[in-house]
Amino acid sequence: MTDQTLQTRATASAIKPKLSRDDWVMRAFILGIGLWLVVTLLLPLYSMLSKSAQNKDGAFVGLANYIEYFSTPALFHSINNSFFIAIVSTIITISLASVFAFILSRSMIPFKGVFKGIALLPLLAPSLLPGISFVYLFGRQGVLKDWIGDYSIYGPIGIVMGEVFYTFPHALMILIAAFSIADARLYEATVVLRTSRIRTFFTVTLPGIKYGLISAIFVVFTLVITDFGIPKVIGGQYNVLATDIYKQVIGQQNFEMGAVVSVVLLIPAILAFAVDRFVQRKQVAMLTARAVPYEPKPHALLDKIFFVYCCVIGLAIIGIIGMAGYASFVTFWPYNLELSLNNYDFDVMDGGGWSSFYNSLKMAAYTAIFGTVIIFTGAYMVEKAKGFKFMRGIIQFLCMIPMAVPGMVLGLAYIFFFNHPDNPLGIIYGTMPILVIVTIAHFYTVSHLTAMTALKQMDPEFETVSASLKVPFFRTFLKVTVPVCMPAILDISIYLFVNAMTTVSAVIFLYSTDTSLASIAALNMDDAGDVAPAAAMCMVIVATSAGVRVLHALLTRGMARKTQAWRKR
Amino acid sequence: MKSRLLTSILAGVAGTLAVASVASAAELTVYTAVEAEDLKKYAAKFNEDYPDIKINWVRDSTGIITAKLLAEKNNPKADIVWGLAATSLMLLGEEGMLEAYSPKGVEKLDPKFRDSANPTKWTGMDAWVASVCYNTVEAKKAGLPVPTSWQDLTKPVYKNQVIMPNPNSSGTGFLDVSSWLQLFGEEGGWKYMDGLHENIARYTHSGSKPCKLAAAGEIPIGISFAFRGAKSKAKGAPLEIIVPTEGVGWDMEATAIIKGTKNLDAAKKLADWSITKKANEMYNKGYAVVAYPGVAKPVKHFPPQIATAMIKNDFAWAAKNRKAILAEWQKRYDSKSDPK
Amino acid sequence: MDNRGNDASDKAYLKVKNVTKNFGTFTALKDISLEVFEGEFVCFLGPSGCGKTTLLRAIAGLDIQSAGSVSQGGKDISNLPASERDFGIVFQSYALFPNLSVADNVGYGLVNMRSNKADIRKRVDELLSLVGLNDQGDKYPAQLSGGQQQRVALARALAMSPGLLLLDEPLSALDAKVRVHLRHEMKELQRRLGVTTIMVTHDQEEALTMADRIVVMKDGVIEQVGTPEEIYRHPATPFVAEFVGTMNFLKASKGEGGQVLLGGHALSLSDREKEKLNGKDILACVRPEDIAVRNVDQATDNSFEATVKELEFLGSFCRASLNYGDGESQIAADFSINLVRDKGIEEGGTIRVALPENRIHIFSQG
Repeated sequence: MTDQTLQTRATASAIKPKLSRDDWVMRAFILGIGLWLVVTLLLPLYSMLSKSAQNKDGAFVGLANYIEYFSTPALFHSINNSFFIAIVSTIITISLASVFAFILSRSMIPFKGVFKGIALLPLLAPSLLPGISFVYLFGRQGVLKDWIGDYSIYGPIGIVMGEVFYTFPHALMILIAAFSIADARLYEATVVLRTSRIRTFFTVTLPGIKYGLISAIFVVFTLVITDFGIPKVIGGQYNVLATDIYKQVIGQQNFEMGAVVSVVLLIPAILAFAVDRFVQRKQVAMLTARAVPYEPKPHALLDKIFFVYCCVIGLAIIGIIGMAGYASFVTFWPYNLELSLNNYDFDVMDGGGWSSFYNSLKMAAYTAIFGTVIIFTGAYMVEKAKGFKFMRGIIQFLCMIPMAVPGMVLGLAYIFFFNHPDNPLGIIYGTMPILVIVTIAHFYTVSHLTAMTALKQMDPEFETVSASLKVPFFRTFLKVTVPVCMPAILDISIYLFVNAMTTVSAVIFLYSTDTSLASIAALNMDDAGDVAPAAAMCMVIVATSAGVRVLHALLTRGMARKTQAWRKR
Repeated sequence: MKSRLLTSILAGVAGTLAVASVASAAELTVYTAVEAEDLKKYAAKFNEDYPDIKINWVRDSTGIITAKLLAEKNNPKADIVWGLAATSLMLLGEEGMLEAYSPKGVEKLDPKFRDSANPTKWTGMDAWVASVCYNTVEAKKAGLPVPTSWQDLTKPVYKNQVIMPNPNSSGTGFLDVSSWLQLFGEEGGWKYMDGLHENIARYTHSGSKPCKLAAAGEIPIGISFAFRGAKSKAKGAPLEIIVPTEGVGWDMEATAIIKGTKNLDAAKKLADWSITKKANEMYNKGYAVVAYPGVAKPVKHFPPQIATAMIKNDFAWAAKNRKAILAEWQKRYDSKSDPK
Repeated sequence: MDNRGNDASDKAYLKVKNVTKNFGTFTALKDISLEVFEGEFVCFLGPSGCGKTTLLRAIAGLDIQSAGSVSQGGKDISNLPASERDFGIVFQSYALFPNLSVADNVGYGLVNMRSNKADIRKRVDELLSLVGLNDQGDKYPAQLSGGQQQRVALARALAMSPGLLLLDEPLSALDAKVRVHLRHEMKELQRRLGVTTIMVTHDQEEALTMADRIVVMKDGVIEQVGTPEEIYRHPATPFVAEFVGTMNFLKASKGEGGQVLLGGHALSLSDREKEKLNGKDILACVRPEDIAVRNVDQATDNSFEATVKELEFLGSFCRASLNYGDGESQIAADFSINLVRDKGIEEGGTIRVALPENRIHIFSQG
């Protein structure tokens, strides 16, 4: 018996599986995506890192730039400022958003859908909009300037208020998701055990949303510390890291120092990102547990208080957007309050005129189309390919990087990389493609995760069945995977479109006169003191984003009725 | 070493893409900081004389255009710069980025308005003069007297009522700072700015913003430049454009050919045209002081005395000491911006 | 391992030789060899983690073995990807394309093969009627019951007339009644089409009722290959004995003249079991339903007295826990309700039970 085993062992030789055509094609795609991520992400970041260790002539100087940075109080004070703003904004946003999310998911107040819709409005606006709006609300000529007394809106107060407005919907979405996974049985148990509402909150509710809460905190923190639009518009003399990069690069042409500040900004962003990833992994584990959904019960007094709270928040959001909208129609604030469309005559303003808006539309459309194709295809290959584990792991990791890289940093990295005279890809520098590419790279992670979630819900054996039926995988991809994932695909494209419309940070270093964008035009108009036209441009962006969202909703509904008939029983 | 690495990685990727764009001789890529609304007019006037040279404008604010040019130093995209601060051009000149070329008729220009080197690297177009924008309505509300001199602005009554551009990002800001250092001497200049700093509400990124903020009543007093003030006044803002008695700093918009341009001939034609009398008459539509002597006519809303108030600006000194001045300024005033 | 002679191996349709599969340091299949004959229905049976699915996936080319060879229809397919092999497959989840109609699902592979739409339509109709879903072609999978979905998956797997049909736990997602019904139907269909079939299951009943031959696996090794009858009647290892059906494992020792001593009672054995009587630890095994009841005074062969410790009513029969020998040893026996009534078996009573000679299995170790 033993002899026989030995003998058979000897004759059995290791098998080298032959790869099918599908395998080859998939691997080629994976390599392609990998190369794409390396070129649009890794190499630029590498250029930036190396630039931070070079002097003006490109010679290696080690940490000299960093030493200079930390011995220049004007610069490293910004670290304190950035952290101060980020921490304060995070505390306020999370407090407000937690209560709002709690009310929306755990109470019986009316108009929940309306409140949620309003709360998500800031997502449609460029981050400079609240800054501009606050000028009209709380500036020297502001309609509500008494509210902040002798304090100036230009500075930390304005920045924090703006950041709260801008990050509120981001926190809200995470927290609503966290609240909605609650297990009703736990609450039934507290009722049976006659636990007080307060005790229930601390023993059941809070632990239940713990991971969502931590995740929201870090997302908001990262958004604030990397945001550029709000401190730029309303920061006044209050310097933060993101505006320092801009000042160093645009104001002083000090690219090396810009790179140093970028690296400094990269550190908290990466840390926050790492914590968030870690926490999210735990949250997923919680989600898989079977839970009975919680059904809120009415409570007369509390529901009234909650309703008032939601009204206040809702009005604040509408008020901020509305103020910018109103100001954009005022002929000459505050001396001529007659309404006119003068401020919409962008062609006579600095910043790029109406063509910058058309550029934005084009850029957003290209980003949505190419970005969705690249990201979804990439996610599909990474998720469904067989073998090739190492490469897939690397790509999965690369896909996560953009989340941790602030837009300003990415944009600057692109200058260093794509404008290098030896880089043959330099021909896209200053063109529309580079704006599209940087925007895709900037918003890669969330899109990729959305795609992965949708793909993971697909039966893993679809590809196997296709192979057994001798059908090439791309046919199944087009005929089955894409139609079934269409809602997620539309989500990705709309996410990319709206972000491409509103983004300022990554593209600010990369646009050229021919390719100025609406959000940049708004920034530059505000920069030049044309605040009302900047508000007008922001409103154009909001209207466009909102229009596209509505279109998307209609499209999804129409499609659900038509092509997605199979979803219904 | 690094560049070789980059090249080898990318050569494969972009092999097919690496087709250098060759512009036809009849097209010029022109970098400019001239106001957006004037560009069409400028190109049209030029095309009256040179209809076969097409101008492709690349326009942005002074700081950004300068940054762009510097960023593209090793790989210039511009053929010529038409309408950028002379101090910025001098900076580019120090980096060896400018083509030495004396346009035809350069000797006719006011010597102040041309590079002292021969052949010249740049030629001036018009002056861009500092002034104070004073909002009469807001000043009255706050009970502020009309300032007449730079020194007036350091009086305690103006505390938090003045805005000026950050010289680190704004050309206007820098010409203010360099003029004060020339007017009051090194020590006096910094002492003056220490006093002024007490009254400054904030420093803006751009040079025109202080005047626009004053026009909008966001601040009673904005230190900016005359051209901007005149434009805002024309729009109906309750502005007074004040020319401080000590004299005002100024810079000029200027023209220079970028070294290495593939369209040198066309660029030279544009450089020649940019200093003609006709061109200067065109500049005079917005600017009261232009490079060609005897052309200038008064511009509406422009303070008439401004040409005489312009200090004898030592551009070479300013350009040479720019870095040190800005570092000093940043050390003194930028770091004070901690939370209140 | 193969219990058919070498003469038959020439006709084997599928040959698995010395197949080993490693996942990292874990060995999922250890040197597996197996032959499947044309038209045969073979079940891979075993607990989860035994390697049965891994073996199926190796045969399909989905997770190709680390070593060893697989040949199908005389062709070596050891290293071929799934798309270059000849099989149809049905998964536990069915993996029906949710956005395609039933007809499109069934015809999914045909579209690539035949250009003529009418031909495809005809073949799809044929397949749908084969699985009894003639008029369901325009529905979407979600509109069908679980059993119907399973049949669609089967029709799709058969559409290309594959040489080999692979079924990966095809019935385990269904409820008990449907499962019993479909079991029969599938077996019937397989017999009619004569397609060589391999089914993976952890359900012994399924294996016993459907398979021509069962391959019992454990820890990546084949424990036994045989017909359902063989597996049930003559389990080759204690594992098989325990996994398939219910079995009493009784400590015993070697007696005189090929007998086995069980609690002081000498029991005779069939000839094939006698040979296994060696080593120290001997286990005598007998299935509860094989235990017969004799009259107490009727000291026939292989019988002994036992006391009924417990009587558990299980519907169609009763399971008795009997004490025998020193009074500590226990044995389970299944008695029909009638028998219990007729013989007056009750808890605490004493009965005489017989262990038929040809129903005792011997396993000995050491």
